[in-house]
Amino acid sequence: MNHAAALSAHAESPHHDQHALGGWTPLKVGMASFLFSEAALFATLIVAYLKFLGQDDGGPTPEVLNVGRELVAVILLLVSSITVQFASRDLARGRCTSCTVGVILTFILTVGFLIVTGLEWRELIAVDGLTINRNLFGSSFYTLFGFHLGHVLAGCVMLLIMMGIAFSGSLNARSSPGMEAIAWYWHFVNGVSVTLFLVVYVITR
Amino acid sequence: MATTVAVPEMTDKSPRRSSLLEWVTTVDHKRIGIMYLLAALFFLVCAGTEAALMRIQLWKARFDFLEPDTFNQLFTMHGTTMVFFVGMPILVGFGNFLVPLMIGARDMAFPRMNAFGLWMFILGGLLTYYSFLQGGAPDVGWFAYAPLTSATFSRGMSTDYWILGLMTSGLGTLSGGINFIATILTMRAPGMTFGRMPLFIWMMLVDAVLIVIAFPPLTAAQTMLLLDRQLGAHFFDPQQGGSAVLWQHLFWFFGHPEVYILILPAFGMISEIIPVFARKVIFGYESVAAATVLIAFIACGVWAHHMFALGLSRTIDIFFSGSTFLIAIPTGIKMFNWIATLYGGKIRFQTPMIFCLGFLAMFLIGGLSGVMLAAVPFDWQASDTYFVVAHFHYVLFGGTLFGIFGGFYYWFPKMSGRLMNETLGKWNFWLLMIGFNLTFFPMHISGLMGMPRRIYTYDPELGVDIWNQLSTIGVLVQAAAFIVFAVNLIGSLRSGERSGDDPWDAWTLEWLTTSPPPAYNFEVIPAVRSRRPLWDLKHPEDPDWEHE
Ligand SMILES: [Cu+2]
Repeated sequence: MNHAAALSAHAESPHHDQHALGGWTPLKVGMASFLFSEAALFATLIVAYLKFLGQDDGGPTPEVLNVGRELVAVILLLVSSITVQFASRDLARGRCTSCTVGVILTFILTVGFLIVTGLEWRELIAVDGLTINRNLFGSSFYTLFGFHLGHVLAGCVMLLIMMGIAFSGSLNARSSPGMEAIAWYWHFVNGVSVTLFLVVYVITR
Repeated sequence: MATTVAVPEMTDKSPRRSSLLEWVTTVDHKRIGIMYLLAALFFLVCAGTEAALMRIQLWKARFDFLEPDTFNQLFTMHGTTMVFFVGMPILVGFGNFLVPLMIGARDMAFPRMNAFGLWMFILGGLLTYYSFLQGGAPDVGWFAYAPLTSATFSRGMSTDYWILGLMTSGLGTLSGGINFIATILTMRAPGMTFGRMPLFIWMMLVDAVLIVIAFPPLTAAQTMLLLDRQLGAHFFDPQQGGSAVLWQHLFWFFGHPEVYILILPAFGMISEIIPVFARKVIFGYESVAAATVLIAFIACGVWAHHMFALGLSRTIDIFFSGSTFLIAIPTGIKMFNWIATLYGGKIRFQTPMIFCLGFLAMFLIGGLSGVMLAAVPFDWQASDTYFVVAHFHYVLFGGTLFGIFGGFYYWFPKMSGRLMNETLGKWNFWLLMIGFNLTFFPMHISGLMGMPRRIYTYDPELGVDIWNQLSTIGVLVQAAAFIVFAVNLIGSLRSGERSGDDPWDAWTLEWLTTSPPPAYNFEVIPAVRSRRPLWDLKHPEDPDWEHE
């Protein structure tokens, strides 16, 4: 491999590592690209929702939505964004116990979100008769919020995995990049939640 | 290499079987890349057979070789297969094999996710083809327009197989795109700045960004369609206020960038091959890279040129016509770059190069008919005729597939350690060139004479029998070309001439290591000072970095 050896001698050149991207590890770039694709996904679903808004001949309209209750759900998720950020920061600083506490708090807040959403959906289905096949509003509303809910559930699985690692006693600084990626994902999902709230419950209702 | 150790041929049976297991469980980017290529070649045989059956049916007016609904299944599966299970996997396969080698990395950024992508693609392909055993394949066209796809018109499961198969393989494609972005942005060898990346790497990076932008809308649209079919949602059901036009918008918002996803890596391949065989550096490196970024940018704003016949509105038509014309500018820049690279070069007419020259000629024809179709009034005349079929085959077959063939002949030695046979390569090229043009050039004429696409037969009064017969004969010639390729591939794998590490006297990093490369790629991580690190190494008296 004399060729390679000769080339590597050039590594001492002033251009060495010129291309390095700050603190951007492969995991961070990968996660950012993934979240970018997720943004494209939700943008498409929001376009479909707006396209069909007010196009129905009959059935429930967005007026049946309970703004106050959804606001509670969104706030629960927003607070969980703070706790997950603390958990991620603590792990990076080697404080495993307080990281575990942060993850558990995040999980509890998320369960709270799921309960509130469950109440909202139960009322929509049982009282207002809004189902996915009732009318276009039902189709696009449940698809949009269903996708978001799926993302929250996926986040729950990630949190459960972190808890499993913590309770098996193997949580250490080596898990920190993974925890940070989870935090990024979580902030994204919660950002989507705020966007959906603003678009569906506030602006176009 | 300085030290070459003769490895005894393995003849014992048991190590062979364990090596098959090794291949199936591998996370090595080179093996994953090669498996992508092999699986895609398998699907190429499927799609080619489907095309040949259609061409037999179209041999003469009112021929009854195939049932109409069989014909619908065949054109749907041919298009779906070529786009999702042949074109993209071959390009992703080359990308997998080459990207880490070209940037001097040990592997892709996420090797296990890489294997995940491969197996999702294979699963998606098999899922789609399984529909043949479940009462019939999808028959709604590769674009699956509503309301043909509604539960009313598409009974049975075929459309659901189409949705689920493409979602599955799409997930694999997306994971591949993310992997390419992370690998290229963070794992380049010391000294390899953006301005020194091989152009193939530039194209793969832009390609991956397009994948990340274009696939999620398709997934969203397919989810809506699945909900329509399975849970009674109304997205694409005009009877209930839904919109069939929305499907077209969402599909083509994916579909047009998809065309660029299919062509950009081929652009990258010929941007690597042409300079090596013209013995010159690429003309205007910066403008090729910039034009690629520009193409990707414009490609996201031209989708409705597939919908001119819909009658959207004058304003919308004018906007999308204009943006489509615009795309000819960066594409034209690249054509001039490649031709200027050839100009004054000491051209070696070996097989990889003649496929690139074929690419330039054929892609030019496809590009020009594309400019014709960008004019709305012309498009209204030619829409849904064989003229359009001719256009996109000149782009995706004459362009992408010719580039891929060039890539096979060029990088096969790196993958296998052996050269492909030059004589068979020339036969392969000329048979393909003649067969391809015999098949697709007459379609311009039959199309302008009014022959509609996606219809199982045509009227004798149309007077297009002769053009269809030429097309069908062309398929026979193409089949001969593919057989020559298969013979060459298998024969060269077994007993091809040993290639050595750098058979073409090339300049990019993949030729620095052995052929085939070891699992770890490079013994020493190479450092880079110019766009042609191997040139610098071979010519220390006149290195590129003094001039760049
Ligand atoms: Cu297009």
